[in-house]
Amino acid sequence: MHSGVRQAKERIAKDLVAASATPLLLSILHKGPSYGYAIIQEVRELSGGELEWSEGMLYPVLHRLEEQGLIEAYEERGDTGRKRRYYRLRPDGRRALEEERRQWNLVNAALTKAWRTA
Amino acid sequence: MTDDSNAEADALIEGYKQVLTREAELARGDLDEIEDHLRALTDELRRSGMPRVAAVREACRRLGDPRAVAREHARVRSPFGARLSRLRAYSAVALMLPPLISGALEVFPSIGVFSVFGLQIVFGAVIAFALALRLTWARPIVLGAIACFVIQLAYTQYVLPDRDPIWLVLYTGILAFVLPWRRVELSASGIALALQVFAFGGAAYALEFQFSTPSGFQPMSTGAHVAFYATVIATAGGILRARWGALASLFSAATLAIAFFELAPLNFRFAPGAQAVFVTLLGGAVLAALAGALLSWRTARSNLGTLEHVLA
Repeated sequence: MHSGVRQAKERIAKDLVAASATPLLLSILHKGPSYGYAIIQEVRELSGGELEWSEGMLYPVLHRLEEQGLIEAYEERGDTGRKRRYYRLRPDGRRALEEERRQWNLVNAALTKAWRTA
Repeated sequence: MTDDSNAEADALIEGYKQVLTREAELARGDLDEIEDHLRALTDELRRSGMPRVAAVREACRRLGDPRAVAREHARVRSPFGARLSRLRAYSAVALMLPPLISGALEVFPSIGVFSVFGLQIVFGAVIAFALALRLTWARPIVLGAIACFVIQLAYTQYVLPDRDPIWLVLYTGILAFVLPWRRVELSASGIALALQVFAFGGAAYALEFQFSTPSGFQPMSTGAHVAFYATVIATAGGILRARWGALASLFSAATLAIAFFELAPLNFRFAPGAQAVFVTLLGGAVLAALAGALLSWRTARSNLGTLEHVLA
């Protein structure tokens, strides 16, 4: 995961971009099946352009999630008539997303509390 | 004009894909996926008014250095890590050829390919082949072979001091040259394959052992014979990441154990240290086959392994 995604223009620290890749991908696929190019667009939109991924590195991350059994791939003809590989969430992925959400909320709550009292 | 720019754009995409496949073994589906991304990005850039060729160039740039993408890909997808560097692979093959050729000339007319020594030559040729094609499973095989060679060096030292170990030293050195790995590349399935190769070495040793003790021919070990072929099958299964490879490995562990107990009562007085080498190699082979069976079962892609992709 570490070099799976890359930050550009020093916006968000590299480690944070890498760590957030899995929950982001799982969340996007939770809304419905999608494919690589559309996922990149959605990440950009969700983060208001702050999260910039190196596009080629998205696929190794997707394939890792596939190998872990969290998501699965299937092929379909896209609107252009080209065969396109889509990804969808598997039940294990749904559970992993729940766990990610719980952990990120914990971290977020702790930081919010710490900064409020600082 | 449009045809020209179409052809140039296609050539650029083809070139990007070629660099990818030179660096790692990518399945067709994975390559198509990246091409689909390149084309989708190109289409979008063209809608914003960019000329076709410039759009493809920009799409390639945004996708990133294809070698980096391929290596990252290999870490996840390829069972045995990224490919060897070209220089390392070719120089290893070049170094291996002289002992292979002279060994083959010496062995084949007199003893034949089905002698144990002949089979070692064939095994060396398989490694050379895998190295030359920079196949990703070359390194696990090399790792298992080195472990065997080092113990066999001890064997020639203790059991047959009159035999020249120079070949083993040569092979070990050459193979060690291709070994360095990045830690992340050493996957569980790679280790499983290395263990299966080690078990193969143990079986080959058990076969050779019963013919070459100074006290004359030993009773034939059925276990060693069956184990030899079982480990060859297990190694092939490990390369293909198939579940049947794990079963073959489990079977070879049982037959290696039989060989161990068949050959263990031998008198080792003729050579000090021979017993230690025997126990290490053959006992180690039993354990390696067991561990290999477990690991390759857990990391197998499917019942048929990558053969399924070939047949599909």
